Parts: sequence; structure tokens; C-alpha cells
Amino acid sequence: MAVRELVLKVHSRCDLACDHCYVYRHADQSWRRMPPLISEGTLRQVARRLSEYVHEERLPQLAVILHGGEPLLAGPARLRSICAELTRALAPTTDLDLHIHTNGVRLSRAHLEVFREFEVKVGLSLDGDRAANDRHRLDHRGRSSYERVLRGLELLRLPEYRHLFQGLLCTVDVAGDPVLVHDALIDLDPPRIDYLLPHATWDAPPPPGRPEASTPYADWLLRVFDRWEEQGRPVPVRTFDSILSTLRGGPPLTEALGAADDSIAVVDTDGTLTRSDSLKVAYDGAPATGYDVFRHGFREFTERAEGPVRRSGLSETCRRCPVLATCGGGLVAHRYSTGRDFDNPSVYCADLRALIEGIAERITDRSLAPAVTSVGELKRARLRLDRALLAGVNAKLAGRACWDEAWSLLVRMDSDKTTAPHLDAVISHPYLRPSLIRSWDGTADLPHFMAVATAAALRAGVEATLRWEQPSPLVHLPTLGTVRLSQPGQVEFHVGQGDLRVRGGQHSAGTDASPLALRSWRPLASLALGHGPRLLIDDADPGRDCFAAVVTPLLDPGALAAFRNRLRDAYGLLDQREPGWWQSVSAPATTTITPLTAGAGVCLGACGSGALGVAIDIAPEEFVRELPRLGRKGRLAALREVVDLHLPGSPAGRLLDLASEYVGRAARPSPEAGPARILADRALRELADLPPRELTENGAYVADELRAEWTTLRD
Amino acid sequence: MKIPVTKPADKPPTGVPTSERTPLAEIRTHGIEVTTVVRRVTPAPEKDGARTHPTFNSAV
Repeated sequence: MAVRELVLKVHSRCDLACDHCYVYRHADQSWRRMPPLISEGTLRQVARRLSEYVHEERLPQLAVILHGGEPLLAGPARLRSICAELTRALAPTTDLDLHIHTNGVRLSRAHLEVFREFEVKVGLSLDGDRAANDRHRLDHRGRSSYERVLRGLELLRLPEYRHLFQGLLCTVDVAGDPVLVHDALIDLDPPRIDYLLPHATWDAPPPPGRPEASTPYADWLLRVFDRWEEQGRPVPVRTFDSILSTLRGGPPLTEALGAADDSIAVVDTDGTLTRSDSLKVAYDGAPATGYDVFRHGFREFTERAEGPVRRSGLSETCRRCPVLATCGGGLVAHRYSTGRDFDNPSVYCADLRALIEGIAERITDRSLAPAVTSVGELKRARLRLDRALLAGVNAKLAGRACWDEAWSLLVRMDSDKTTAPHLDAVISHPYLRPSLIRSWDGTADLPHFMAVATAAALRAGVEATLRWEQPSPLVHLPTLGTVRLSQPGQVEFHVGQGDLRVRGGQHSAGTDASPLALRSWRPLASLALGHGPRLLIDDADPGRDCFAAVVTPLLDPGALAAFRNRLRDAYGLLDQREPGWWQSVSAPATTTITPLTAGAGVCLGACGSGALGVAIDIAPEEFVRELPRLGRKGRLAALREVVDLHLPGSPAGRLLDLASEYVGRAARPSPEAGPARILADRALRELADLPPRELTENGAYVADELRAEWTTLRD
Repeated sequence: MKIPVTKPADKPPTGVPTSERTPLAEIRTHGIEVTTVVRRVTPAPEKDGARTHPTFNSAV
């Protein structure tokens, strides 16, 4: 893996004497042999090697973290020349992302001016409140560093430097009060926090907690987690975010919880290259690789210098551990013992497991939710989710004049019982869900949500005029149809009682109206089933391409009529075979059908549930055979959006999927029904054999439901 | 140009009665309440999008 982060040691000495420091107070003493300050020659060579490397690897971005010892000991002038040298060498070919990590004691305006000039983001180490800090972070004369660090932080928080403030690193001391520590850090209004476990190995175990505590570090961090939750998670906390990320199937966010160290390189003040700084805690010389910037390039280093993980891999204990995906074996250095090298679980193994399981338990809602027992409640719970996501869209777009008007309109419609259901129908349209989710974590697509507001007003028969800059001539109004404009540009939609007028808006620079005009309107078709609401046949929504198979382009009138007839025949056959099928709890909650290319069969979309993709040549028999399986699958997907069925990361998730799939396959006479019944039974037995707290009450309810259905099949 | 748009013939599915639901304008987008509602559908962060550095000793 390419190096994405370079930790550059610019000074190897420190003005503090913290007793937990991995550089000076642990096994490796290589700092004694290092030049105190990186020389100009070494720096030039680092910059040259990095420049070659980003060129060879075509790296779009490289983070360089100025580090120590204490990097501020280099002084503002030297730090300026270091930043200038790196910028000169790297900025023309990559996006250079400069950082510094400091104890903050000497942080001054002179430093901060340099950092402002080169956009160097600043992180500080601080162990919490004064009492916690003074237990470890003393200077060489035994004096507290607390006031000096706070003075530095005050400067960093000034409006002119605030944007450079990156976060606080706090080393855990279980002798301190976790809530006091956390609150003291939060009071400093940092943009991010992380809590680091004090470095330790099996040879040099961590400081013990209270004698009766078997997992003191997990207990301490879980109290911080609870406090962070109570506070509404006011800032990101990297350890917790990493655990939450991996519990949801995402990546680890820190080396301390299994993020690969392959993307990291460390350059010492003498130009030697290592993989991981923290290995200094294992034994003297542990980080050494034999590589340096004078004799080796970064590509050679990344390809040949092996870190200890590659040498020894994860221990057997870790490989069998149910929380491995979240813990990752912990920080490599913490696995070391003289006897077994790095072939151990972390010395914090019990704490890490208790922390992960504690967080998993805390974010799991176990109580039986009405959404599981009632189809109507499930719909309502999903609508609550869509409305929350829509509020998130407003948070992103608020302040833009055109959106503020649209939002007022949406709020008005939402508060009126005659218009609210129409708004609900638009925002719960399955193809809107991906845009709603993207808006939550990223940016909101203004024209798209203006079209959403227009569609809701049109459906509700509310008079409204909405204006926005439309980037393409096609404006899709979700659940209704597509407007084709003569050209993109400033557009004004006037919605009346069942009609729509479109005209070009005014140019911002003048008063001339543009020639933009409405060219055509193509409504979506629908299909009445004789029970329940009409099904929308959506062959136009740009968000419909969410199926495993290819969606068709817009159907011409003849093809659309044929598709509708085919669907009518398929549903007719289903009605004939299973009268009242739609009343079953696992009946597909389909609201929208999208035509797929010939041969694609029938499948669910990866968007919001309610969408069904159906091949334009679907045979009614195939449709009837597949629908029970898809109905159950869709129900599970919808439930997972609004309730917890099991602990995150539990094997119960896969077993519920399997049981649902095989019960669905066994529900219709076919050659595969017999084997499916056997496989469903196996999955259900495995579910029943899981430890009791793996399934929540909701998951247990669904498992019982599947078991009851399986019993009916057998009979 | 004015075009007639046929509204869906059916009454759309009714959600929570307006009197029983939080007004749209009052739904909080920060804090634990809403995090709980949306956490199951919002994606886990991409490593590059998480805006943190994996090195244990960097400024998060």
C-alpha cells in the first residue's frame, strides 16, 4: 500500500518529561543516538524522496505530520523553512496536507503565523483536567505543564487560528475520573478528541486499575462513551468513531484498532525510515528497518520493509475472536512479549473486547418495537426516518434563498393534515432515499430537492412558485413524471390546482427573461391492483438505477402498455393462486415497479424498500414464484432501517438472512422447495443455538415468525 | 406554457397523523435522538472521508 501519511520527526528532544512517553520512557532508546534537530541536508533529502514518490505513485494527496520529541523546539524560523522546503518540493505534484503534533507548551503567535501561512493543522496532547494532566505531563524540573498548554490552546482557539486546530490526544489514566477528564477536554471546544491507551506490552503491562476491576480501561472508556452520548456526541472521538464504524461494516479509523500501518512511514531526525513509531515500546531497536532516505526511496521502502504484522500476522486468539473485525488485534506494539514476539493478542485484549461489546450493547435497542409487530407501524417508523433525513437536507441547504422558500412550503404542507400525506408519499419514494442519505453525510443536491418540493406541492394541489438554477434540461418530479425544458438555466415552476407552469427565471445580472421554456411533460404510469394503492411504474427517475440488473431507458408508449399488461397478468395469477396474499406480514410492500432489461427476472433495489425491479419480459409464473422470497427479504431490509434485530456484527444477521431466503424459496412448489426447507431449518436451529443476547427482542420475534412459517410449510 | 398534471388517483398512504408527529421544522438534526433514528441507514465513513489520520500519535 502506498504511503499516505509521513510522520516526520523534526526534533528528537522534548521540553516535557511525561512518564508515559513511548519515545523516552520505554524499551527503545534510539532517541539518544538521534540528532536533536533534523538537518537541512536530511530534510532536503526527505523532500526529494517524497517528491519522487508522489510522482511515481501519482499520489493525489500526502499528509506530512511534523512530530518529535517536541517539534516546536525547532523554533518558528526553522519550522517555517521546513514547511517551505516541503511545499516547494511537493505542492506542484500533490495536495500537501501539513500537520504538527505538539505538547503545546511553547505554542506562540510566531509559530501560529507560520502554521497559518502553510495551513499546518495543529494537534495537541493533553490528558484532561489539571489533576489528570499533572499526574504525568510534567517538565524536567517536575513542574506542571497545564497552564502553559492552556495558554497555547487559547492562542490556537483565537478566530484567526481556530481553523488550524485539529484536535486533542489524551492518554488514559484509569486513576483519574473519566467524566472530569472528558468534560475538561470538551470545555476546550476541540474539533476532535482521541483517547489513547497508555503504551504497554506483555513484558511491561499497563498500570493496573482498582484490584477488583478486570477490565479497568474498558470501564473507564465506557464511562466516557456514556458521557459523550449524554452530551449528544458534540465532537468526534476517534476511538469511539472507529468502533462505531467497524460495527457498521465500515473501515477502522485508527492504527490502535486495526487500521493497517502500511500507509504510514516515519522518518527520524537522522533520516532513518520506520513503519511504526509505537514499536519503541517493545524492545530497543524494534522499529528499525535498515532503511533510510539517503540510500532508499519510499517505493523501495514500502515494497520491501516489512512491519511486524506482516511478519507474524494475527495471533490464533485474535483470529478466533468474534470482535476481531472491530478490534483488529489492537495496536501492534501492545501485542509484544519476549517469548512470542508479536504473536499474541493485545495486552489490552480483555479491555478491548469489553469496550467493543459494551459499545455494541449500548447502541443496540433491544426492546420490542411496534414496527416489528405491525405492518402499519413499520411504515410509520420508516416515514419518521425519511422526515429526519429531510430535516438533514434542510440543515445542509438552509440559507439559500430558493431553498428557504421551498422549505417553508414543505413545513406548511407537513403541518396540514390534508397536504401532509402527499408530502409523505414523495419523501418516502424509494428512489429518493439515496439522495437523502447522501445529504446527511455529504452535500445536498439543491435542484433535486427543489424538484421534490415541486412534486409534493403538485400532488397536494398547493399553490406555489419555486425558482432555482437547473443544471440540466430534464427535471424529474419524483412520483409524478419528467419535465423537459428547452435548456438548462434559471427556472421558475408555478404550481396551481392540478397544473404546472414553467418559465425561465430572470438573469441575476439583468432583467431579461431567458428563452427557457417547457418542451414536454411525460407522466409516470401506474397500475391499479384492486387492493391497496396503485403501483407506480417508474421508468424515469434518475435514482432508479439501484438494482443488480440493468434498468431500461424510458419505455415508449407501446412497450409501456405491454409491460403494464404483463404486470397485470402476473398479479392476476398471484391473486388466483393465493387470494388475499397482500395481507400477509411478509407480502412485498411494493409501491414502485421499475422495468429491467429482458431476462433480468425480478429483484429488490438497493435503495429504500418498496421498489421492485421487474424484467420487461417477466413470465407470470416466475413472478409468482419469486415474490414470497423477495417479500421476506424486503421486510427484513425495511426492519433493519428502523430497529435493531441483533447485536452489530453478530452472526445472527447472516442467519436471519438465510432463514428468510430459504423459507421464501420453500414457500412455493418447485424442485428447490424441499432442499430449501432443510436449509431453512438448519439456519433457524443455528439461530436458536446462539448465545441468548445475540438477538434482540425484535430479532427473536422475526426468528419466531420464520420458524412458525417453516412449521406450516412442513405440515 | 401550462400543462395539466393528473394527480395520483389514490389517496396516498397515511403516515403518522399530523397532530402526533414532530413538526418538520422542529426535527433536530444534531444530537443523539436523531443519530439514533438515522444511524442504521447512514453509511459508515470511508477511511478517506473520516478526516482522521490512522497513526495513533498524530493529531487525530
